[in-house]
Amino acid sequence: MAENKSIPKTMWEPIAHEERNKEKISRPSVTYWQDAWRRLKQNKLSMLGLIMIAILFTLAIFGPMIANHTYSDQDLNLTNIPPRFEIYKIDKDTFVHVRRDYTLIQVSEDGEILGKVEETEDNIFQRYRAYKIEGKDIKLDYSLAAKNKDKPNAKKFMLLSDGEELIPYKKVFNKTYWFGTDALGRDLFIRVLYGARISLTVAIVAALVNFFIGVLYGGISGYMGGKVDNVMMRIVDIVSTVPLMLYVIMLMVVMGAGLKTIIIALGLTYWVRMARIVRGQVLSLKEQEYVLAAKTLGASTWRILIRHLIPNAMGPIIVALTMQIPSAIFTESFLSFIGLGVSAPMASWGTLASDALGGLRTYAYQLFFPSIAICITMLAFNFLGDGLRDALDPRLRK
Amino acid sequence: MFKRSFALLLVLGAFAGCANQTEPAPAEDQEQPKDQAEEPAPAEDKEMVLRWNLGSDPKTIDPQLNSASDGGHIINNTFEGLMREVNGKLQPAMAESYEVSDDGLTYTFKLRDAKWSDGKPVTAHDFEYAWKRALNPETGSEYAFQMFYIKGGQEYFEGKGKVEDVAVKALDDKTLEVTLNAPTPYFLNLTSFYTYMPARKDVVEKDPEGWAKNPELAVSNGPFKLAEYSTGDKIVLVKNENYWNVDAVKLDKIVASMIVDQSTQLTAYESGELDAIDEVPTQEIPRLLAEEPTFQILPLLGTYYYIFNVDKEPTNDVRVRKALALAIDRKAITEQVTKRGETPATGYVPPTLKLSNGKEFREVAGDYGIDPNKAQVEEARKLLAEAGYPNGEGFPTLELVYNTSENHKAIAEAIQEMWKQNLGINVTLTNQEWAVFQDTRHQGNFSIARAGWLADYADPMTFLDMWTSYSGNNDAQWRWQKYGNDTKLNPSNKRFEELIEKAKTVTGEERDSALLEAEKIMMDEMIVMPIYYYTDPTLVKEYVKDWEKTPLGHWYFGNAYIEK
Repeated sequence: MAENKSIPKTMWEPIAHEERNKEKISRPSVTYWQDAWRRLKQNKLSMLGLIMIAILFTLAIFGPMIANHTYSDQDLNLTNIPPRFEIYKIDKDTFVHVRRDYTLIQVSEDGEILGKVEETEDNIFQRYRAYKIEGKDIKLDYSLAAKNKDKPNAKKFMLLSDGEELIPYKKVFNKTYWFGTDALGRDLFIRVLYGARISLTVAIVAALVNFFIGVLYGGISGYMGGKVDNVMMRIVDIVSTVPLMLYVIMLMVVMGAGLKTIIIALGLTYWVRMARIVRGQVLSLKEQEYVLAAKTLGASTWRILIRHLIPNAMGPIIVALTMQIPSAIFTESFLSFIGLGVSAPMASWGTLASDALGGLRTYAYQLFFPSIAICITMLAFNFLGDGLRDALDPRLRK
Repeated sequence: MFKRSFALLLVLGAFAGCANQTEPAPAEDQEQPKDQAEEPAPAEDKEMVLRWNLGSDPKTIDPQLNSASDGGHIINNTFEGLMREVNGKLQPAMAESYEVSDDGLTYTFKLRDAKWSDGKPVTAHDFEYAWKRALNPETGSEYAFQMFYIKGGQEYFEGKGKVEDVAVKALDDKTLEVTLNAPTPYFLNLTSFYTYMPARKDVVEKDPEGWAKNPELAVSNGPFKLAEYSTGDKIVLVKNENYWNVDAVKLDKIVASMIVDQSTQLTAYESGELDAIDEVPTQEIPRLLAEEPTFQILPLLGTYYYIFNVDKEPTNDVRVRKALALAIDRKAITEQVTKRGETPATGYVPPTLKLSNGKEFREVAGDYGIDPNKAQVEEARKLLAEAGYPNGEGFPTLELVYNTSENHKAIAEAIQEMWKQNLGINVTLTNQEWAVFQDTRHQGNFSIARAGWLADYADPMTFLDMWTSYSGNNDAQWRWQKYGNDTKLNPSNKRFEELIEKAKTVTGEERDSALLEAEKIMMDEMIVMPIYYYTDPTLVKEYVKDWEKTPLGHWYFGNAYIEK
């Protein structure tokens, strides 16, 4: 018996090193969010999207601060200069660019805009303009333009220096105005940057409205259930059946056009989708045991909602959020495009595109830059949203 | 429409293709079927259709109610007054002949045997009815004041007189007698204007508001009649077979589309979907001038200006108004922003309008110290400082209202920047839809508003008499007596009105000096800020012949034809 009771000495010896580590969790313990971040990092497109959004925010916030002119500064002498153009050499250090309306702009060899050249003669019947630059007689003959009207690639003008035809010296980028200038001689780059501010303001507002109104509304509706749910959801139905455009137009009558109107209109309507998503999530989550446990322990409804239900529905919420932001930006651009947006001279990407439309045939770059900005932002948010959806889905967790 | 013609093209193409197969293939075989398919059918059995862009949807096409140029285009083609201006010459139209009494006060018109589009004869009673209708205060015609030349007209409109005392009378079915308050040198011109066109009592009374736009109700006496009106889309006019001079009308149909966007219009024109447009995107004008042979810039009697609300702070101070008017560079606006070859404006009445001695009104009246070629920054700043806003300090942010259009927006943005740079004041821009905008202006709910005025007849009076206290078009609210909602009074308007009324009763040099002084008062008060005198850029395909634009800028297609 005594033998049975005693534990063999060997049992008291420390176990081998390997044995001791057997029970240790080899993977570091990660929270849900750390894991999601880890998986998001693996998704290259999402990271690209995230970086692009970061760059956009940086440019929108700091870009206009360091620029030396604002979105409304005009120079009516320097209208419609493209971002890249052909230059002609007049003299050793004198170069000119021929604008599409057949007038001359003096530029430097590497593409800095120096100013408009005043013509000495403007003959609209024989279709030429004469200039005097550095003592040379320059004649810009655009009579070919009418003859070659339907041939986009044909020669449209001749630049003659003392009777000798000049050939393009080289093509340069515009160093003064990176994206060129618009019809009133405003710097398009600065205007696109300011446009980014508006678009991102709208994005932030849409996100906040979604987050605070949509999530809480859906959460309360889902958790309360019954009659409360019924009434709240019918209100949502009513709000969502009235088109956004109608809200905007009605608000404009009351408050006048502007960013404020658009933001309020977005605030009135954009939480609806989010409310539905959160309600759906909460409906299934509230049957979980931890909710029962919390209730048993006497937690208040508010606490259950804020501490238990909403954090557990965070995945779908964030995904819906990243998808709603680009849609809000796009809505703003669209409203501005059709003239319901910010008032001039402030410009959002939508109004910039709308302004450029009139000169689309001749000055396509004015439409190109705001459109590309809209595209990049849309893509960036969508990439990020896609990646977040995968990263936050617990079933895809490895 | 599109589908059908496309199918036709395919069928024709197929036939052409068949024919070619039996023949030895020439070198350019590929091209041939296409060419044949595109050839139009012989002109005899094909409808001659003109596709023209009207632009915006007119508020009304009722001759007595209309006051806008879009409605004027349609009315000029559907209705006909006693006279009509063709190729710049005034010709008898509904009137066969007319007599003027020696004192120039009584006009007796003999009407020709003309019919309405429903076959009933056009009688002098139709004119009498229409003219009295325009003067009836209940009709609410904004252009009633165009009729104030007629004795008793103004009294009736203002409720001080009776309808029987309006001196227009149909002596019989074919004779119309009109007595004027004063000899009016341009009265015959006026009878070609839309407010003076006839209307049928039985038709108007069926639906006083909507008869003109309803193809089932509308009757007209001009070369065309209304066949279809689809709101916001198009107006279809067809040849009026009952028109007295129907042989001269060669077009079978006019499709007037309502494309507002200038860029869309130009695209439609360049791709051959439209034959005539008169609005083009500003940005494209330099290119069109250089490249497009059918692009023409026609002269137009009109002024583009901003109205100041003389009842509202701070534009109720004449120094502020003057400062604003002096601080803009008109040459830069016309050359760099509008680009239509306009002349910078230094007065309200546009050039080419003449005084009785043949001299140009504009040259005699002078420029009121406005430099057309640059902004007078120093003077403007001084005036603004005198008004209590040195360097623009303390100046409230004003609202500048314009109706939605790329062109108006660009001008507004340029002027906004000029005021900011030159005076240091801030202005916000608000665009409004045309119908809303017209109300805003009429009711004076603005500080500064964009406006343009096109002549209704070739006389300086058409620009000046709109600023009388009883004119519905006095949008600056510059009135010395109460009118509608305008209860803030501006005594300076009284002398102006006296001069206008005097000019309507006298002739010759006396009239000239009254008109000149009237414009001087108006410009000294600077109730409006003239910016430029209009031009009319027009694109009409070369196969459209004999189309016309009256000096007032109204299209007329009564003699036009298409020759492809």
